[in-house]
Amino acid sequence: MVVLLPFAHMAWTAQKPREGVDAAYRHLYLTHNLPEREVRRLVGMSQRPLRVAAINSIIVSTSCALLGTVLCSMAGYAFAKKRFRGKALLFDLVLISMALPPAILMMPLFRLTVMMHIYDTLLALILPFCVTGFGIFFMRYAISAVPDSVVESARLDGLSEAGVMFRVVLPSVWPSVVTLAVLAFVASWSSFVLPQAVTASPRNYTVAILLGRLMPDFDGLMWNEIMVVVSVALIPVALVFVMFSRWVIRASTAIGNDRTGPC
Amino acid sequence: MPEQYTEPELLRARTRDRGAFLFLAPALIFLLVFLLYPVLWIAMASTTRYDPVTATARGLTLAHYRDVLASPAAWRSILNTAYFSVVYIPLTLFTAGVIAWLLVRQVRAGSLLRAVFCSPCVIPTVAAALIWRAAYAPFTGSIDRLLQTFGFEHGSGWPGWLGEPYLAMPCIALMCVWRDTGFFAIILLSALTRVPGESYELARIDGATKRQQFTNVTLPMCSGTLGLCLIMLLINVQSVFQEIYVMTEDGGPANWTLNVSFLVYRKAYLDRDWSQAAALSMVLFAVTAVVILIQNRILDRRLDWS
Repeated sequence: MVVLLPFAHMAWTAQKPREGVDAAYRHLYLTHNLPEREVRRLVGMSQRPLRVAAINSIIVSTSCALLGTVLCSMAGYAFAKKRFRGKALLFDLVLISMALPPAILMMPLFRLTVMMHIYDTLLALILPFCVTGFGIFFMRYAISAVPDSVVESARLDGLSEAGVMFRVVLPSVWPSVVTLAVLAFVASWSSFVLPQAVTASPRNYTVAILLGRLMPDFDGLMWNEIMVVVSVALIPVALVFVMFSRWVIRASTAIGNDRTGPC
Repeated sequence: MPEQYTEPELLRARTRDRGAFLFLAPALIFLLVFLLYPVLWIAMASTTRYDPVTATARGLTLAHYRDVLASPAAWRSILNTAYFSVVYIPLTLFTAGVIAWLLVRQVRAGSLLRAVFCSPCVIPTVAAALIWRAAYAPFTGSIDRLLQTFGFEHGSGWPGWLGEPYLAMPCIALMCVWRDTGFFAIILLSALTRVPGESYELARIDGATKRQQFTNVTLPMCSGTLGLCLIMLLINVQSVFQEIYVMTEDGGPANWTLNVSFLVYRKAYLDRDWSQAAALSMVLFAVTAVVILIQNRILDRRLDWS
């Protein structure tokens, strides 16, 4: 009984928000009584904007996750395992970049993408958002847990610097790499305020932008349609998460590296 | 560089230096371009009269800073942000800590549960906010329904959740707690699993009570990770904005959910006063940056980066 009690408690706490979500869904679908063919019309590939948006979302989020993870891992490796001048200053820069309030960024990002001639293209949805201060911060934190001796011996074995990073360091913090990729994918998939500012035409909408555009209809009782788009927005993310959750959870051994700890 | 270094060591040190910048450059170029330009733009717009339509700036003035900081809405938004933080930060840390503490006891069977706990943090913010907005809806929302099934009847003192001045902000904060708890629980869990069992053993031999074990063993050993969590929580607090946009739409009721980020948005898009919005966001940026840097200095002493 004593062993089971925490489990019961955990299950209860986990169940609570879940139940809330389910109830919200059930309630919405029931009260507005959305016919099944309506759902199929919206979700099914007959609704063109949604299909285009879904494809865009997949392209944008995947590139964001891949590009961002590779670049952030490289920078994180340099910050964690290399000595160079101005390291503290550059890392401060990385931290400061996280402090920019997103609400004001719409205007400068709009102007910047226009200046770079990428306004209203998918590139405008990828380039400004792929590298984040958090990503570099996270990878530095993860890679700093790799013992120096591992890096040193890899160097002595004659591996190039790139080889040390991609063949020794990154595999040993693989769960963290996957975690960052999942987080980047999710962040890219779900952000809509800033992406809204750098796209204009529906052919460049992502699912999240489409969702954002539906919102002015809040009072027009579009809840059922909104919720269908929400589901479309949610399902891939849920899939990605379920697929990689084992890695995300294993990352917990790579993080949590207090000096006072055993290592 | 110390003189006793031999030549090969010197050479290696140099190549490592050069390598470092090759590794850093791509990410930092991205970061610089998409950080520096916005910061310069904000600085420019906040010190001039900026016209967003023609994208022209005229006159150099600090009046916008004065005006925006003198406005009652700004102070209201600062108070509201504090109100949000007071609910959000301790509650997230507490629930994340409790979950981590429960999970660390059952490491093997816990992997599915960990995934369950972590799942809300991957839900898109808009989706989470929409779901909770529906749940908070008076009378028809699932929370009210749930309360009704437990026999609570709608009366005169019935809370209107997001429509209630004092309750609206905590309601939004609660959604954020629900969304972020799992993420922080996983991070805290990682710190807890690294506390060696012998430490507790020793503390027990010394006659430490459970509470003393917590304050003298667990807390100091997790303090670095807690610091890391605080930095991330702070960034979360200052970027809460989509949530309000979705859940109360205009920062209502009676400005009770108007936080600094949302005021920036409102100044820029509804009042079309980009200069004041820029001035306010410059202040927000500066304050957040300073706090983060201070926290990082403290964190540096606690964490082993090398």
